[in-house]
Amino acid sequence: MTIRHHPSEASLIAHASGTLGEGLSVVVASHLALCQRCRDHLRAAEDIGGALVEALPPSALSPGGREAMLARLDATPREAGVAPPLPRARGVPRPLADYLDVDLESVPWRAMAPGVRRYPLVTARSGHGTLRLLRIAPGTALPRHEHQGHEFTLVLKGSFSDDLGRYRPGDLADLDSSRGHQPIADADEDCVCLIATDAPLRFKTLLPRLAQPFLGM
Amino acid sequence: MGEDPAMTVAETLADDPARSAKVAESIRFAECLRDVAERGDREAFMTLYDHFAPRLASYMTRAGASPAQAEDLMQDAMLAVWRKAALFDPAKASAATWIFTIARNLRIDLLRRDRRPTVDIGALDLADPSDGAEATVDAARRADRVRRAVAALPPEQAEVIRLSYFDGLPHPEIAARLNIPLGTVKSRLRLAFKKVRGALADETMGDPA
Repeated sequence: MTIRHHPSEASLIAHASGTLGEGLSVVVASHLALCQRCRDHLRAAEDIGGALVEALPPSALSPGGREAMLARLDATPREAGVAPPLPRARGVPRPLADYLDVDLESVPWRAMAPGVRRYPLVTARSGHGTLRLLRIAPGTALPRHEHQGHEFTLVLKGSFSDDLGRYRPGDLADLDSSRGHQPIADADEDCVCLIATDAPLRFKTLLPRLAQPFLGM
Repeated sequence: MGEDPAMTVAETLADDPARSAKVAESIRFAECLRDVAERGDREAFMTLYDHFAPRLASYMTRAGASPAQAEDLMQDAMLAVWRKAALFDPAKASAATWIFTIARNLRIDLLRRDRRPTVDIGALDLADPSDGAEATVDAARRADRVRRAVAALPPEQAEVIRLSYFDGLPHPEIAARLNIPLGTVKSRLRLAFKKVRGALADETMGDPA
């Protein structure tokens, strides 16, 4: 798998800082599971966090804190080392597999619009953006839209194209409020994507009924 | 690679005593984690506690925790260090970086009431077959490079980095706080990241192997 589209450096820093919402984090983590380059970059971004914490002025702790800590150690068994996780499960990158209760092949898709099916995934704070799988029939164009917040799209199967290029499995489209786009599934096979947003989309179409099925995105 | 770790440390020592003290300290913390993992060494753990606990409490306070809440979160983070020490891999992170990721994940859970995927992405990379001692020295030198690169960031880049890592602000909130465009926030973060990556690349190029 040759990956050509990656999360921006700023997005990897947000992921390392812990400031991305859950849905966006799942998409980035799923890309990371597939992309050695971004894992190396994430490590550098986390090293920045380590260096910053080291440089923080120490807080004065309450007296008795050390003894309280020692007492808690007595009550806490240490965990054994574990085998590294497999990079994929249920036919998808491992971070996504934890959100799926079925294999990708058996997802109970729901019709969303002509040529588009969806499967919503549950996050801890639904309402703060969305996380869902989309399955787009070959050649289907989604309505042109802009983003009020971030929209991360990871291709799992097939491919799509937009103004910025062609996205194949493992590629992540990292879009924010500065860029609109109109994704079109390529003609050869269904395109299955994992998509997260942290704010509702804005549609550019003059025909609201075309956008209607997508308004919950 | 292929260098004698003790030699490397000694050479660094001759270079710059303050810097080599930081590298030696970083190596010591990684060894403490190993001792906690291998034999539940409480003294080694308390060495980590004395250094990191007051800093983690500051980290939690910066994200908006009250002093009492910050101390609770810090204790939970240090307890996770105790429980999970066997998962620490010196080939993948310095002690400070690994402890940062544990504290960050707890902070997301408890302060933002949000979650994030639990898979340890770093664990997907095959462990370096080199022995632990060499990996520990490499990680300590790497951490030192990053520390110096971060300390040398221009003020406007350091500011967005701190607002992201410490205050836990998403990019649009950083833009609003500083009254600058979102694109400027992202380009400052990108420039800062490039400086750090550049410092790490210098290290690789300077490596005789």
